[in-house]
Amino acid sequence: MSRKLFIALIACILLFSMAAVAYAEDVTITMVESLTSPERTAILREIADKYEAANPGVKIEIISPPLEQADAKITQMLLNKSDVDVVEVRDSTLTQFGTNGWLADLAPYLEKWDEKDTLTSAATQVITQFKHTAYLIPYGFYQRGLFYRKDWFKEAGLDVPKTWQDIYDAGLKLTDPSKNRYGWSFRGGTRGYQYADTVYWAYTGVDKLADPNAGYFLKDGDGKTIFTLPEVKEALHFYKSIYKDISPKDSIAWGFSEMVQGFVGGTTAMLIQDPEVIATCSKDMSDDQWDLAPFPIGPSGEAVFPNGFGGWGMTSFSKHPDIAADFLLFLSNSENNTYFAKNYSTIPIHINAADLDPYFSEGKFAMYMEMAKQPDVYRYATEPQMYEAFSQFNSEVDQWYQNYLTDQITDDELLAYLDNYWTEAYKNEGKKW
Amino acid sequence: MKTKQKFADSRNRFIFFMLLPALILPLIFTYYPMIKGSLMAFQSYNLMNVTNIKWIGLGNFQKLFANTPGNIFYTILKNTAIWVIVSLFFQFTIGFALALLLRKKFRGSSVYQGLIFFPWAVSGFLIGIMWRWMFNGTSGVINDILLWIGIIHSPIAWLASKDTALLSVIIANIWYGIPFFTIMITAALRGVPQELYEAAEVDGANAVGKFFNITIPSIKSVILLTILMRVIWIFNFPDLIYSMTQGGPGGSSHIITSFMMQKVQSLDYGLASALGLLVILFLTVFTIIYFSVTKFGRLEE
Repeated sequence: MSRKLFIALIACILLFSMAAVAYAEDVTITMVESLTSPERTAILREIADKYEAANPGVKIEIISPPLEQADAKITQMLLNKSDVDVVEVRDSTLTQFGTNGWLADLAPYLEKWDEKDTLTSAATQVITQFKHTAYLIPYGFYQRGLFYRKDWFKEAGLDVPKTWQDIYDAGLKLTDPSKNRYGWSFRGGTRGYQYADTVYWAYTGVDKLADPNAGYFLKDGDGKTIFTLPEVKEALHFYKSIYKDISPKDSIAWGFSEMVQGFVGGTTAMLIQDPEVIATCSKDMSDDQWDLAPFPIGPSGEAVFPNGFGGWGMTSFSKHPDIAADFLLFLSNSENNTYFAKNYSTIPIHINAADLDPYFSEGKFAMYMEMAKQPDVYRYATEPQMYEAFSQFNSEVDQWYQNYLTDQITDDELLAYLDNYWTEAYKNEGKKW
Repeated sequence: MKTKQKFADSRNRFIFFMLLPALILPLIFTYYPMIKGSLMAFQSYNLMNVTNIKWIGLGNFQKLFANTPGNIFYTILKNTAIWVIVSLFFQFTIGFALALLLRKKFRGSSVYQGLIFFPWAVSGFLIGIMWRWMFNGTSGVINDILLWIGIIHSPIAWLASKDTALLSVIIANIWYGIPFFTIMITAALRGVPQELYEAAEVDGANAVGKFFNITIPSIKSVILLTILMRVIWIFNFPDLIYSMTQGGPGGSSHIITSFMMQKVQSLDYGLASALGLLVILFLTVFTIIYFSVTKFGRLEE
């Protein structure tokens, strides 16, 4: 029995090595993705197949680690300089990959690219976001919108919320714990702090910030943070009242799936989330039950949210940089990017996407195009992710908010922690925007 | 004489070369990574910037034990103790009780046995996700049942409150760990000779007497060994906590190992390694004390 197994094993090894010899003349480009899902991998494979058909002799291998461990796996692969040519770079990993010298500068390839002129301004900005070097080409953006229960709003005679205050007022009217109904899908679990940040910025406005990508620091402040501003304290109180008055008590532990389930399952009336939730809502709810509205505006007259992104970068140790870069540009051309964006619910990177596919000018997605037409109202800002201190902050700050929301610590204690943490980070790492 | 010496030499050499692979492989794959990983505990080793790794002595340990207001490490130590002791107590008593019930064959007992053993076969993360939905404060089944029976009058936010988060993960852990004791103790009970009970009956012993004078002494070594194994496993079992609460709210349900996972995720390998060393230290000290208190070595005789 074991002998048969052994022979079978040897046969397999022989077969594989023969196959390897047969393909030895081919160039293999290895690509690792991070936000993996079977559907998304299938779309990428489709595009890769097209590239292989057009470029005989080139093989594209896609590695898809399970979502939860993907970034850790990728870190290990890059650390060991494994055979990886193209890698998914996210807003949350760009600093790490860039600092460690794992990414190649794409500028020489971009210069010669015939499609660089149709890139949206958001895309151009992201390409050189870290250290003014072209470390990635984004594949799309995740802009947030306000999902709300159309039927409940109609029943209660409420208008579609335009401001954060509207959300609170409408939420208060819709909240009825005896019916297990609440106004707001609050996120107190993993990365819930990002919602607090959008409320702060809605109170301060973007112009007070040192840089949209360093949203915790004040303009001309030499490392002074926003957490000392009186309006941020006010915003924090408002944020707490959203939790206390119009959200389920349980939601302090909610992450992505609970907040979406709360909305889709009929517990909460409003939800702020990425466009990928559109697909979930369309599947599980009827069209007269829900709709999508622009991001709420704050006292500053601005609606501020992170322009979340993901993209593809090339490793600095790729053995076939020219082919890898060629494939990367192929992946990012308007045809393939629009196809990818439509099937994966991201906002495309080329301005002609709406011409190529009416999907982006009609239906739910049209809301994002409306927001894009008012750039002085709908503005982007994000946490200072370029700081090395950010990764620790990202993993521990939710606990501080949870303590504040459950009255274990005061507003001053929370703000003092935030202020100290980032003043310290600035002192250690300097100005990085 | 000389040939005999030569023969012994070549024989020793032969034995040495035969053992060599068994020595080299663990050295490369077990001890080298272990030592390298342990050394990280004394370094500022953050994957955010691998170009800036330096020795900092006991800096990571100082950071853990620092007496600053936001430091939750002392809460974590307390939680770890509660997590291990409470989980173990209920896993053991319920597991033992089930094993005693299963000793007598009855109709469908093998099906029942299969059902009891089921949780042990499922991954910890999966069980965590399952219990997380069951404990969900707005749509979870546990609140539904309690409301229906009338024990509570408004839903409880199990995982969201500092008072119930640790309790909830412990309940899930107890459910998960019972089968282990049931399996081990059932097997041990099979080996207790029936004659002992018959003899005791002749002497007029009651059920309690038989339990303490025959059952327990007969399977004592299994009990002691399984308890030790479970202490180590429960200590090293962050899966449930990680998928149910991620240590929240506010660190109130963190234990050392789930905290270590969080540090790995925030890419601070130095601090995570320091935590790992502390875990090894705690468990080694515990095992030594446990062995000497229970006189485990002498049991084998």
